[in-house]
Amino acid sequence: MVVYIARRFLQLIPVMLGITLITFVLMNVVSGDPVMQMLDERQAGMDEATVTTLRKQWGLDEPLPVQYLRFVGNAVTGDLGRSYVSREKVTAAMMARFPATAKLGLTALLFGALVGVAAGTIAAAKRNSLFDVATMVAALAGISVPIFWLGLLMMYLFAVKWKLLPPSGYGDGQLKYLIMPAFALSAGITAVIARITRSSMLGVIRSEYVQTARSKGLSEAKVIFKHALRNALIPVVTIFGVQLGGVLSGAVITETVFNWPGIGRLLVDSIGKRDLPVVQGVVIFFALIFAMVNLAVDVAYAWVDPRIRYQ
Amino acid sequence: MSALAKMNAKREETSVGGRSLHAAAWRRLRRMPAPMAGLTILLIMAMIAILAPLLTPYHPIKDANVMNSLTAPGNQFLLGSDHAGRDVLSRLIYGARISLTVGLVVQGIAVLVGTTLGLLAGYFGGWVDDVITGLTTVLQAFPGLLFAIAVMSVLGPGLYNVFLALGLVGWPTVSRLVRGEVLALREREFVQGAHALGANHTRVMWKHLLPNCMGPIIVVVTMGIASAILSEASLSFLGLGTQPPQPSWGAMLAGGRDSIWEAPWLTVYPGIAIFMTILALNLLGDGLRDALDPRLK
Repeated sequence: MVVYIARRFLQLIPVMLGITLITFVLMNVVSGDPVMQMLDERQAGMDEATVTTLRKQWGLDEPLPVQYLRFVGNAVTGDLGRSYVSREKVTAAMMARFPATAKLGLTALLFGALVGVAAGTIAAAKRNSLFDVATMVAALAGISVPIFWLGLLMMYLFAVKWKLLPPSGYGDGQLKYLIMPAFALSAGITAVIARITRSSMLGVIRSEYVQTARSKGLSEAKVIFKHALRNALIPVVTIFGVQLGGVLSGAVITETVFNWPGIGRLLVDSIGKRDLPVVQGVVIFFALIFAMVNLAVDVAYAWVDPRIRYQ
Repeated sequence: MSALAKMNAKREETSVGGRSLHAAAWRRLRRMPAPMAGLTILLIMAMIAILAPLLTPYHPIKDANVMNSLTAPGNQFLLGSDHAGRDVLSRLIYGARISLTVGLVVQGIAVLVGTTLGLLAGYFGGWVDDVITGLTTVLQAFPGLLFAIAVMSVLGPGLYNVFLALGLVGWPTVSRLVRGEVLALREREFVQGAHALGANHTRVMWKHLLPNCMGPIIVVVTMGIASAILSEASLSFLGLGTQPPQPSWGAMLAGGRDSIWEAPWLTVYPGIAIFMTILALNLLGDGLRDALDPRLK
């Protein structure tokens, strides 16, 4: 198991190098000259000498491969450069907003996992019942609805029309501000988890060991929740890692809709200001979270199913 | 001998028990009400998009009149008007053109690039496979829409950049799928038979391997169109995609966002359009998956 975790951890290194390289090339080569861009927008008409000085000061006069290596070297120590606009450290800017994003994302994930698994399990156990049909229709709607539209509709109904919840913002972190954004963000993942749980559960219910459990005279609830669910959850765990990607990019949209002061909002604001170091930092940070969670998912998977370890 | 081998190869590739796999799949699909409903919605939408100039009461961009700004739905404007006094219905109808084009073009790019690279990776293996698989792994390590957001932030908004960004995001899915299928098919008898008959690499890849991957590709592409349309709407909503005054559903929604209090129709109707399209594609995709691979059901 330790060997497996170590090996899986080592695989992370080339992936993160690839991610930083692609992001770096996008932000520093495809986008054009960063210094000129900055100057265009801010101090138009600056003389050549100042531009050269600035370029030297920010290390932009060096060849790109050198710049990239220095960028990666700094990134490893947690230094992702400074914002062009506020001169604030990118990591500091992200960390200031990380708690809000974590709160939103984790609530959505938790809700998605609990409601999705419960609904999927019951739907499978009561196949073709009204509950099953209703769950599957709701799940289909959940995977088809655009987050921003769901968010705006909820805002219109619950905040504007019925005045039950605050329309947007963070308040002082009260729960009532969290409800709508977390629900909007969780719609997709809840739906996907419900669908996967149901189809996986249907497969497991038919297997021999479940029949055996039944023929032993165990109650149906015990058969489903104690015996069947454990195995049925294996594909759900895998899909959870993939779905996290949707939640991370969904957070960008949700935070924009609800004016939520998280990292996603920081990303959209920074794009608007063409503050590329921040954009670059957020993209790499989100990719890192995604990679780490998928690593954790793989480890959990190998722990549950020993066959994986020996592949 | 060679004629017999050829016949066998041909038969194993495309048919089971004398019936073409795709014809059998179509027969199964036709009996499923939900996917057929999805298909019908899509066909109607495609007709609406094609016939847009004949169906729209107003021009989606030019017929602007501030005097008509934010008129509620009624006789003059069936679904109301926007800030510039343009007809929401006409803009929605033209928006179908943008959405469907995005879906088709993006998946066109994804299939072209993804199939080619997936075939190469699966067929040749070795360093070719290492390079292509490495690239797909890294691109898929970006969570969801984030890579497209990053690309758009650099390229700047616009429909062509949307094609490019979403095509870049879409091809690894197709490539991985095709690679996996090819790996499974590569050693099968009909492929070896084709080799024995002297078929070159290109012929084996495109004439023998690819047709056998079509089923899963069709499913992935159907779902991919849905995700491309949703992504374009999301990018446009964030202000990174299609730009106003182009009638993109996502951009229309974003434009109506701040007037949700006094003009909810600006948000509600474009949302319904996106939702219905994605729903129809998901219905069809689910049905295609079940029809093309009955084992999964």
